[in-house]
Parts: sequence; C-alpha cells; structure tokens
Amino acid sequence: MAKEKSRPPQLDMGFAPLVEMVGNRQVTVEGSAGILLYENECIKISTGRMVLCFHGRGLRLHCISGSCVEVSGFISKIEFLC
Amino acid sequence: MLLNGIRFIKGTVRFRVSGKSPERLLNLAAQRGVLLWNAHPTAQGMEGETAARDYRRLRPLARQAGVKTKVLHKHGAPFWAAKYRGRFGLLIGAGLGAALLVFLSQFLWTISIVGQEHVSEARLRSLLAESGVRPGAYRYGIDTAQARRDLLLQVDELSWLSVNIVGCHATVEIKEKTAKPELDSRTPCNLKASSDGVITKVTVGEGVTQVKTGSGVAKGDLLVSGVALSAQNTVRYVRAKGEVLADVYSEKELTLPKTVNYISLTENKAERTELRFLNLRLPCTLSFKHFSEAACTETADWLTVDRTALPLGFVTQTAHELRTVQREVDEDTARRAFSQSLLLYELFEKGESTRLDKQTSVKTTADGYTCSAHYVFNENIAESVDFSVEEGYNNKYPKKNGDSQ
Repeated sequence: MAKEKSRPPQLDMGFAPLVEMVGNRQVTVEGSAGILLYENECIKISTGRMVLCFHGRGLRLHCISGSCVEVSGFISKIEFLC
Repeated sequence: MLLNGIRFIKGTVRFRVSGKSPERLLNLAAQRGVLLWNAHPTAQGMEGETAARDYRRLRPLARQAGVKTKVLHKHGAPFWAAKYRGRFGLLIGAGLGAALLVFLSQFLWTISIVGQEHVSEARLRSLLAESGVRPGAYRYGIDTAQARRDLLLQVDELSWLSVNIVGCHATVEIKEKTAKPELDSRTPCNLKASSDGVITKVTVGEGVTQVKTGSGVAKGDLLVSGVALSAQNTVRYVRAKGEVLADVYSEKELTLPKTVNYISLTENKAERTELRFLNLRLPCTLSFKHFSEAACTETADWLTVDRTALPLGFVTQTAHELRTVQREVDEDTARRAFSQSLLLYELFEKGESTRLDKQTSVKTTADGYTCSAHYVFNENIAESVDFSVEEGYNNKYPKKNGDSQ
C-alpha cells in the first residue's frame, strides 16, 4: 500500500473576507455582503459571518462593487463583531 | 489619468442621496453591479459619482431603498455632445476637417537641405524636384533611394547624401567632397615664352636661365631650362620655376555697325496672380493680354511659419512686352562703346598685366565703325612646358613631349 503523505493541518477559512491594508489610510475588503453604516467616523461592513467596523476620521468609501469595498481615510481602530 | 479619460468619454454624474439609510442604496447598487465612486457622507445624506449610463439604473434602486437622488453635476463627452446634437453642420465640419487633415498628411509639405556649403541650394532643389522630392508630392510614392542615387550622379561635388521623410517634412542631409589640394607636379619642365616680347625682368626659382634682361624673344623660345648640370658635371632634370616679365605688343580690333537693333522693354505688361497650395493652382487675377515677344518674371510670396516656408502662397507672373528698336549709331556713341569694350578687355583679359602704352584709332567705313587699339603690356610670359626623360637616351638631349629639347 502506498504510504499516504501526512498533510499539515490547514485552517479552513471558509467565506472569510480578505482584508488588505495600506498603512492606516486605505483598506480593501473583499467578500463584502453590504454596508451597514456609513458615517465620517465609522463604517460598518457586513461580511456574512461577521461585521467589520472601521473607526477613524474622514472615512469614505472610495469604491464599491459587487463584493469589494475600498475604504479610505484616517483609520484609528478596527473591530471584528461576530 | 487613463481612468479619468475613460470616465470623461463615458460621462459621469455627481449626485446627492437624501433619506433615512443611504447605505441601503450603496448595497443595492453593489448587488446590481452599478459602480459608484467618491461616495462620502454629508449632513443631508450622502454624495457620490457614477457613470452617466449607470445613473438611470440607480434611480429605481433609490426608490427601492426609500431615498431620493438629485443630480448635482454632469460631466463628460456625452453631455458636451448633447449640447450640439441639433447642429449637424458642426459634426459634418469636424468630420470633413479630420478627413482633410488625413488627406493632406499624405503629401510632402516642406523640404530642408542640411550641410550644403558650396553647392547651390536652388540647384539641389531643382534636381530633387526632378527626382520626385518636391512639395506636393505623394509621400508614399517617393523613392528616396532613387533620388539619392540621381543626385549623387548629377552633382559631382557631393560625397554623401541622405533623404529622410518624417511626417510631411523631408530633410536632405548632404556632405560635400573635400576640395582636392593642388599638388606640385614633379615632372621636369622648361619655361617657354607664351608670346613675342622684350625681357624686362627675370626671376628664377629653379632651373637654368637662358635669356637676359633686354633681349628679345619670340613665342616658344626657351626662357628657363629644366636641364641643369651639377658640380660633378652630371645632368639633373628639374621643374623650372620663375617669372619672366617682358614688354609685349598687343592689338585689339573692334567693329560696330552703323545701325544696331536692340530689344527694349515697353510699359505694357500683364500680371497674373495665382494662389498655390501644394499642386493646386487657383488663378486670382485674369489678364487677357498676350505679347508676341515678352520677358517674364515670377515673384512668390509664401506663407512662412517659424522660418519654414509652407507650400501655400501667392505667385505673381509678370510678362513685360519686348520691342525691337533699330537705332543709328553716330561716331560719338561708337567711340563710347569702343572705350567701354576696351576697358573690359583690359580689366578681365589683361588683369594681371601692367599697361605701358595704349593708342586707339576709330575709322568710319561704309558698314560701320572700326576701332584699332595698340597696347604695350608688361606681363609674365613664362609658360611651363613639361618634358619626359627616357632611360638610355642621351642625357644631354632629353626627349620632351613630341618635341626635341
């Protein structure tokens, strides 16, 4: 019998969103399910299983498409609300 | 930059969203594939931008989200074009302008010649025109290699030439041949008299002097010999150099008939002006005068931009009527004419000679007037005559070109 190679345990990310940050000035969220709150100081983005909450100053949605949201501004805090 | 260009072509709308939850509109727009950008919250709600076409899709979504949208600003080519929708003339004009631009760019407009120093530019332009490189020529029909070959064959002074066509401008780069230096010939030669005369001064650089000051010589006499004897009594052949000045008698005879015909310009003239553009010629003035004999002049006034003459301008051709006039010549007039002719003779034919004496006499004959001028010039009569030396021949009598020394 052929020996089965032991695979390293992988973390199943499922439908976890992909969050890409450029410093604290720009964040791209892939896997967005919708905008829940849009204010200058706080933007809440639903990703299905959790809600991403960005706090800061002068926050704005730079671009919105089907599943991708680009947030720009001065981000001071990020919360993951599950 | 590219994105801005694309957005300008598509057209963009800046809008305001007012209502309870503008976020809902954002979500609906994202779900339906309506792209929004620069969306930011304001006191009234939210402002954002979208493509002009997408804004129409956004309005039913706004109703669904329970918000109201209002256009704040329209920007881009579709809105700009909409202003001129009813004005077909502008559209046709723009189309014709573009077509004209494309059509005219198929022709050669200007030619510049670079590197020319001694060769006449007008001659080069004329030869280039014969080879097809001229303003107004079809750009893709020009055979630059053939033009290059033609010019190099026809103009001896050129060593290299290149014809480069960039856009509607042709640059002809040329390099002229370096002038051949005059080399001192090493062929042995004698100095002989070019005319009869009396020697006044002998200056010899090399060779053996055969004449003395005061002696008379006939044309062809040996003045300075190229055969010299060394101290060891051996023969040495040299190239004789020197200057032998002699008083030379010269005669000049001129004749002038009693009746002369000459051509003069009258006051009648015909001017024809035409507008020229590339190969196109449009007459601007009409003139129906025709002369059997006429002298024509042509003046051109080309449009110049930044020192470059464009092939657009007015060319005026003027035909001056010519009339043949018969005139009787009296003696005074004949004397004046003879005097002027003799002056030109002294200046151009005997420019390097010193005039010592001059006597003129004018005679009237049945046909006209005859002027006899007797001159005595002091001039250099030494003339180099090469000779060849053959081995084995008697050194004392070297053989020269078909003549014995």
